[in-house]
Amino acid sequence: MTNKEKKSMAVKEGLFTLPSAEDRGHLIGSKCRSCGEVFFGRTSFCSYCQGVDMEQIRLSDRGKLYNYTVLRYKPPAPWKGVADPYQAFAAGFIELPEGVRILSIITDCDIEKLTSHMDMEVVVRKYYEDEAGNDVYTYMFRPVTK
Amino acid sequence: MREVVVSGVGLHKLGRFDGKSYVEMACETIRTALKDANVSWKEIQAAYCSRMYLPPTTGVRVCAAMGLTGIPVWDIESACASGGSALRSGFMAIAGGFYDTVLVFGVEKMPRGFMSPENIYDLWQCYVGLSVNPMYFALEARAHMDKYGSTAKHFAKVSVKNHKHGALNPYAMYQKECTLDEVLNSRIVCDPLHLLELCAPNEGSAALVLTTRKLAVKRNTKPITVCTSVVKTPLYPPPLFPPAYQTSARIQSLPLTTLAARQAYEESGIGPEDLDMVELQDVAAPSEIFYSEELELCPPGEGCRLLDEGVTEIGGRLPINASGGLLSNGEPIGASGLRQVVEVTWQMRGEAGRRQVEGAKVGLSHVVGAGPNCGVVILKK
Repeated sequence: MTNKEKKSMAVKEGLFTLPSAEDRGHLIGSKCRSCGEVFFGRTSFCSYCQGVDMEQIRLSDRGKLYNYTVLRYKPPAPWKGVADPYQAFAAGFIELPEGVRILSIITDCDIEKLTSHMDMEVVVRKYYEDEAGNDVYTYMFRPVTK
Repeated sequence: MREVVVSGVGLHKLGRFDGKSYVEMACETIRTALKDANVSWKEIQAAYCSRMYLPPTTGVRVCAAMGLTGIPVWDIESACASGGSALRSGFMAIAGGFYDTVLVFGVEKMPRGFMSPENIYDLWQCYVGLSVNPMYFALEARAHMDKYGSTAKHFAKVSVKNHKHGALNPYAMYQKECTLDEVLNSRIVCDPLHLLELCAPNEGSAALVLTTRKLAVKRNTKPITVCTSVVKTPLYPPPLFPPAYQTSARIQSLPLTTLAARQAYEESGIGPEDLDMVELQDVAAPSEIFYSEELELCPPGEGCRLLDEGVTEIGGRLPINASGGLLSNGEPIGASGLRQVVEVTWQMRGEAGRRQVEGAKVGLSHVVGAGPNCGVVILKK
């Protein structure tokens, strides 16, 4: 396969944008025009008030770490991360100003030094290469460094 | 609505039985329950089969092995709370006058290791590793530690207590006590949860015969009343539980377990202060602390105090998981929720052997599954 055929894709459509010349990649949200509730990802209806008038918005790049843990055992198949050697990684919910809490991998951090309420920012990174050789990206959060 | 009673129960030992098929395990357990209920297979009018990892139509296959009698047989699945849903279904059928005698049974043979995530999570969650059940229990634990100051030591104490109880239970997979040090030194799976603070997937089977009081007495058995059997899903927003990858910080509602418990207390006229024993979903050690609060056995944030004061061990005012809970029994999904009800039944009858809660007359069982969904049952002597 030549580099021309290699594609970049999101691990799940509608949750985030891929990095481009203009933008590092950001999270997509949907806001209900009836009740104001905000959801992570593109959705055409509101799971709170059953409204069908949704506005696609860009979610904030930054939020606060609500809780966290470290996965010391490798996740089961069909996990696409590096199994051998396995490197423990952190995950947690990040609360965004829009009022939504999102579960995410936590990267670029000392996994032994995480604390609740840390300032976090989103990054969109390649996570694995699929069978067709395409680069598959996911969103992650990392601590904001001063 | 008619009063519903449990007139017979059966439980297969929990563990690993590589040579034994699920059909064999279930039939053996069903025969025990039928004998206990003084009822023949032919008198069963409907069967409810709780299972998750076994194939579709597990219920019919088991009933075919028992003997085809033309009765309706349903498989019922609600992830880890399947037993609660199956019980509710059987309960409704008798209470509503549709049948007089039904069988509710659960059976499971689970693969070893982390539960296969594709049944529970979206594929993309599996691909990026956000598909590990203990991760959620660990995150809940962290939130509870931040909010109420619960500690790793408290979680370890739950494990010590439940293993101590499990050592008294001949049906439990793990019948060995452990020390606080052993728990805290066992490998960390998802911080702050240690291996000895997580239940193991395994195999087992449980069966109950539900009928009317009149018939139970006529058959010369000692019925235990099912005061109520409740199943609930949460109110918005999705709780921090598999398989959610988002939730709301704007809207808050009562915890799922509290919703289910309050409905159970209201319908039965029995309050948490009336309970003599509780079997709850200690899928992870800290879960027992949150659930004891959400079942309103104590105010929010005081689950640790209940544990510290010895209230929840056998001999205390309100033993929790006298059977050893999921931590000692393991969690064979389809069977687990019904194993709890069998335990409560035995406790009400005074048949719980060395783990008997003295004078137990009223008991509650609580089961939670991915989704999430929750089942609560209250039984009374």
